[in-house]
Amino acid sequence: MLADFYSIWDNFKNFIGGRDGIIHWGIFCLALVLCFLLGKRSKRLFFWPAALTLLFLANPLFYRYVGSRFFAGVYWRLFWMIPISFIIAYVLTRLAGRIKRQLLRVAAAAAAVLVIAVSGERIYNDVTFTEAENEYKLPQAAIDVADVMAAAGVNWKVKVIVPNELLCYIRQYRCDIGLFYGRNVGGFISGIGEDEAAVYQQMCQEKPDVSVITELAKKHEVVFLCFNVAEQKIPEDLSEYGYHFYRELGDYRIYKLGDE
Amino acid sequence: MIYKDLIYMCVLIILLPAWIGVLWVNRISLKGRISRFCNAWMLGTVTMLAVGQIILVPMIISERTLTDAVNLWKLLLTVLAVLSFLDVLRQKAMQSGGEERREAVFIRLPRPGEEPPEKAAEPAGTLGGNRDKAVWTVIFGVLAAVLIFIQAYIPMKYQHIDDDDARYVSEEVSAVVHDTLLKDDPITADYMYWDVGEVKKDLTSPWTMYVAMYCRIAGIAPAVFSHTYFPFFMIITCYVLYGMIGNVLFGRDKEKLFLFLIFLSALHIWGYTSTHTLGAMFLLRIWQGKAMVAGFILPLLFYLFYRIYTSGKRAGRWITPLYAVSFAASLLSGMGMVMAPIMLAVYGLLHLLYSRNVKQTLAVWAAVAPCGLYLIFYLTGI
Repeated sequence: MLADFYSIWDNFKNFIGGRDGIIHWGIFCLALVLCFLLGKRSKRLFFWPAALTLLFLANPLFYRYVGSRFFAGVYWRLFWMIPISFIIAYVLTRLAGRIKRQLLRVAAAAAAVLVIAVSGERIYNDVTFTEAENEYKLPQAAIDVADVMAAAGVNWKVKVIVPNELLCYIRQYRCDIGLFYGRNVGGFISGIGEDEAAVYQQMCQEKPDVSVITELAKKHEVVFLCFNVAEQKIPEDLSEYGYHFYRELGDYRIYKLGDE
Repeated sequence: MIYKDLIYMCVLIILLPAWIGVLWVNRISLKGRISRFCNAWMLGTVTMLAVGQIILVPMIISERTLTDAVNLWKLLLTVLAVLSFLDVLRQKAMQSGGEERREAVFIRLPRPGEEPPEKAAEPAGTLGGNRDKAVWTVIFGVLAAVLIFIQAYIPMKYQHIDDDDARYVSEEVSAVVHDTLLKDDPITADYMYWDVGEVKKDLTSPWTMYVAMYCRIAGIAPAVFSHTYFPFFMIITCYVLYGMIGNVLFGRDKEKLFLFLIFLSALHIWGYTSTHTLGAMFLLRIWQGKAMVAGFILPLLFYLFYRIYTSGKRAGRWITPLYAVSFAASLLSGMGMVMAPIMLAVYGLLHLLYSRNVKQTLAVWAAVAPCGLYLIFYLTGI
């Protein structure tokens, strides 16, 4: 029972962002208490629903029999059922509304926004949003590489191996390119085979063993191999391994199956 | 080109849902143009999602094409739109026949136990009624609108990359290009049946195929649709819903409504304390089903229950849309399929305690059925 409770606690910390989110969560708790004190209406609309949902989520039995089985790793998502931002906004509005002098009310509202801003983390920053590279909002390199491979006209669908930083984006742009492996290397979408895992392991190296990559690639009829030559040391000529140089796009060098 | 895309988006995400939603607002007997439009928009949106869920699951199982799904969906939406049109005509005819007068009396004399929003709101006197207040109301309104527009504009203009799209958007691209429904492996592009890995989840929650239907109709590439247009329109849609919640809470006091939206905006913009908060999900990746659950479906459930709790004996009218929400939650994500029933159970229990109306409570709980059926279907892998 205690272990279940600790798991819920970990999910909760994960949800609020640990210490970073503690002040916003504190404001929410305070707002919830105020909902209880602000009258029957706020008690009915906010306090009891939120309190009951919280009790439900913090229940170790619910976690043991439902949470850990069906929401392993994502139990924190259930905390979305608590209207945290709505309750805080409601209480702040009610409190601001109690100030009769207009300017004081405006100042109080501005102060509240300032507290929210200072105690929180801004969502708009250089990491979360960057300049769009194209209308698809995908890395331009992925689009360029995909276009080159598809334009070769090998088949209606070609199998390729691409550097790890392009794995997630190629097929968001074109569906006529099949990846030898993709996001399944991180345990997502579907399982991964031994050969795929072996190639991925090599593609993670600065000096990959091209003999392993090409051998397995040929076995699975992979038509194109793409390497990031700025990060990986790859011999210029792979003809002895059954692949020939096809195109170079910035940092990316593409090899094609067979002779030139 | 961009104007064509914007026109399609306006029609698909605002006008068509609002038109279909008129069916709901006529049933609920809502008054006020803005209130009717907003409610029609939200309830119409959820209806379109529900219809999508009802047709997509069997079509995926029976291995039909995306074109088949789009045609059937368009047919059903056309039927709903025509019904809505006929309903409007009927209402107009009733009004001209003296119904308007009778309803006007009804508004002035609400039934006992009823708590219309105007009365339920706090006394407006607390904020004063002078000219200053009117000026500040306008300022708060403009500020709220600017904040909301910024939140919608940034995801449209700038790029946020999320690796979960490796499954979602690639499924959409395959569906649109190959005219299939979950037939391509999202990684290898190999031909498959839907019962592979995480794609199995997408059978009972085929949000990606729903997006593919939009893309097919509008002729927009799925990556462009999801990463550029949809966030702009959906974030605004969600804030309209949040405004409707504010309207239930503060009635006609516009200053409070705008303040409420300003505080909400601030909480979302500075709510990035983890990647899991509502603000993070909502503003970073609203095009994904789970973010739609967090940003749209759950707040819609809050809204409907606030309406149920404050409508006295007319609460029953707000219960019917819960069934559509239950289907829509199933369409969007497996999490929606679980969270909607939990909320219906908890809020339904509270409705029983507040109103002691067993019949209505049972009706609320029965709305769990669509989610429950899809959940059983998913778990048993029928």
